[in-house]
Amino acid sequence: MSDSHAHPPVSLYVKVISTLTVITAFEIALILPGIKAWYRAELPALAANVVPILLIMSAAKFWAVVYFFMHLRQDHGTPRMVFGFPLGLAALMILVLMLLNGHFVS
Amino acid sequence: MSADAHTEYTSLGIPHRKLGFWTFLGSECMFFGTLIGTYLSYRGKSLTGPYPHETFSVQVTTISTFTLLASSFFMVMALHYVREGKRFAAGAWLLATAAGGLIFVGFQSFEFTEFYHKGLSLSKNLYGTTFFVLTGFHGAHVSGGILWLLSLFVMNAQGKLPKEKEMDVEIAGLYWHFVDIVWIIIFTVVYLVEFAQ
Repeated sequence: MSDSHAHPPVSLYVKVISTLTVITAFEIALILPGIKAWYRAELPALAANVVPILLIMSAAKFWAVVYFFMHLRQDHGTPRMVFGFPLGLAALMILVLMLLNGHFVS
Repeated sequence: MSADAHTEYTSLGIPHRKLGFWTFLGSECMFFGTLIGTYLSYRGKSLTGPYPHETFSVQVTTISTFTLLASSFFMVMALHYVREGKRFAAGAWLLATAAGGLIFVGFQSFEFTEFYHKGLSLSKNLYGTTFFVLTGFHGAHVSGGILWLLSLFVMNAQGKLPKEKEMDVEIAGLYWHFVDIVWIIIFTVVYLVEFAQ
């Protein structure tokens, strides 16, 4: 069997990096002192959940890089398994440690 | 099936080198997962300062994060042009990727120096130990990647990187994107969560 697959167009890469940039900008906006003070006063629900929100945005960026830039969407089967299983274990360990040490509390 | 430069028969449907590299990256996930886990386990448990909020600079980290993110885009562009057989463009994007990595390492060196001047060292407290080990290993990975990219740039300049050798660039790209995704996690778990709380 060959490893032949269609190569993605440049426009896809531009869309992905644009999305990553927007998400990163949003992440940084959430921790800027002025914005943080505003949502803590006006949006207590957001303030209470800012750490999980940051983690979800981080996971989305992670997935976008792996899926599109590392082409895992084209590499089915074994690569997904040999990379995905230890990745899942590592992610689970990080989340459990954050939970146990109270890092989700903001 | 013939085993020419483009295709390689394997029972798993993926070239052996590429599968081996994905496996290596899987082991790297556990490696960095352990370091991040250690940082989290000891977070907030330092008995003496300096503490994270006294040392972190959101401006410096933001610039280096955007630079590393952009270098991932440069890397896919380099691979794209190697596949197209456009040697000059491929060389330019490879060099841009390496430059992005160099800027990142430069900012990290600046950050480490600043932290040291603020009294934080590897043996100062739990924060210093876990932070420097985690980010230091990541920086070492980025530095290794820069050398790898520069060697590909030289090969390309010498005409030794034709599109038949796209796998060489693709595997280097997998490594480069991996150091980027590790930073995505470190940036959030170490820096952003600190500022958010």
